[in-house]
Amino acid sequence: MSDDLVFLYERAAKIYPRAIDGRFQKLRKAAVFWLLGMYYLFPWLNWDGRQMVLFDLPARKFYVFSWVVWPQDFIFLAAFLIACALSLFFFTALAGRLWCGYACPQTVWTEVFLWIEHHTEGDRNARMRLDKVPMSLRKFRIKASKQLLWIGLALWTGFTFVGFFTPIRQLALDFPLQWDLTRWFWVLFYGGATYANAAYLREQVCKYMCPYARFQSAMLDRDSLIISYDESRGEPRGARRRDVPDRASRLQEGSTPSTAELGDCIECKACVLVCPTGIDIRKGLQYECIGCAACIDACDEVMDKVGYPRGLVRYSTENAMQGKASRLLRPRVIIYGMILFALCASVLLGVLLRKPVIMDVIRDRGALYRFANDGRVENAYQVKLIHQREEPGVYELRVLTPGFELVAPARIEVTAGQVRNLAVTLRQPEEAARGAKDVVLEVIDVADPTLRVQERTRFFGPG
Amino acid sequence: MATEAAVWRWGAVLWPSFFAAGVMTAVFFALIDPLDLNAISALPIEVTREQGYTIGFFMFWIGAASSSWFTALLLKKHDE
Ligand code: SF4
Ligand code: SF4
Repeated sequence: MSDDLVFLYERAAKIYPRAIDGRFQKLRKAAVFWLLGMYYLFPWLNWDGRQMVLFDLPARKFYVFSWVVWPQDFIFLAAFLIACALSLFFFTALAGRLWCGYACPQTVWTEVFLWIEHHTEGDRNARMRLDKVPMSLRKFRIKASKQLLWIGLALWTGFTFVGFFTPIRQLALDFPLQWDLTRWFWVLFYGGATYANAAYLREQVCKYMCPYARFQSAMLDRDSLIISYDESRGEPRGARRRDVPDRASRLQEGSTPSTAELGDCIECKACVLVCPTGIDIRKGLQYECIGCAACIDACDEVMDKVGYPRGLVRYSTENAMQGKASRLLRPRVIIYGMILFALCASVLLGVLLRKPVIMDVIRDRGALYRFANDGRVENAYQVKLIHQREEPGVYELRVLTPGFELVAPARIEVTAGQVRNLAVTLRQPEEAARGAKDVVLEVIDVADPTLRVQERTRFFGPG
Repeated sequence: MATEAAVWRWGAVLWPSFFAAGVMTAVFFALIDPLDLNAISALPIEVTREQGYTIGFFMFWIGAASSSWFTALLLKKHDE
């Protein structure tokens, strides 16, 4: 069979990736445990008597560790989304599809579903054999236990997903009678999507559905670290006797003509068999490659077995592969990195410096000024106080600019997280009120007078 | 394989629009409370916030997916 035929066949058929262990697979496994560990565990952890991570949509506030995020903190959400996009650029420019290989939920959950498959149905050969034999009691038992585990995990995943948005303990207590339609729907929807994506669609999501695969080439350049096959070392590939040393040593020792032309690839196809997307890395970078590094581990294992140096397939840059100078820290990486750093630093600073009260002062629309009964000049304002604390509070409002009198409630009481609108008035004797002036208002937390926020506004008088 | 072409077509329409709808839902509802929307809407129904978010998400998804679907149709014409 020619290479092309093999390739076409592999593509169209169901892919049975062979399990492989190695440096990078250990790293990936660690990533899976870490990410899914956070996912399944976090909703169950408590902090200060409430769920540690809870995106409380019904109450419109998010709890993340000790931090409560209010809708007014929208700017942080925007910054967070931009930071996500930027880190994707940054890491892609640096080392290709790190995201896909190590962190993408698609890959991570597929990996877990593959483990389940591996433990119930056995290794690659066993799975292929099992799929070929007709249905029997044994086959049914194996398939059924696989499905049971898959479906159970998928449902648990959907349940956990909803548990990020409504308190998960309550959700568990309410099950199943007090679940409303919305809850049922999201649990089944998310669980169903996990099942379909991780159990069946798998690599097809990456190949046909994910936009990232297509625009990654715009972020990659000849100095990005990508998973590559060292063609100059490996070719021409071919099977050989066991005792043939690797090409570099052969060339040193003075080679025998029969094996001199052979490269280091022994054509064992290990790299193809382990590939979850069913491609052959030896054909060069293909958009289907999700950068999982399974082929690196597979080839390293083979190289160890035949006593050749590792790294026939490895992380490398296009320039390095062609023997040209290659550097990782190039302008594009540095610029992405700097913007990303500046963004993260300012978000962190913003969070740390954030005061738990926000004041907004808006001049009343309508008249510029009016005269009070006693003849003084009056301006009216709307003051908006946003109290971003979990406890109720009491505030005091005052005017800092001398010569003004403020007419406002003496004590402003707020409940947890309340947004209060107050109508207030500033007054000044007519002889002082000439033209437009700046006025500064200040709000003070009565319980904690170090917490004060100032806001500047305008005062208009006649003339 | 026919199924693979189908996965490709449906996936290419549904998945990117799903993603776009997710981001749009987050941004939109961070700024606007679904209860406020409900109060000013002409519909004679009352929804909870959760239902509001859910409806909003699917409206965005349907909108984005229809656009993707039309694009897919137009491109198909062009290919064949
Ligand atoms: S070519 Fe290698 S890195 Fe790419 S998807 Fe296949 S096994 Fe993973
Ligand atoms: S695993 Fe290595 S030696 Fe085996 S076929 Fe792939 S590149 Fe060649």
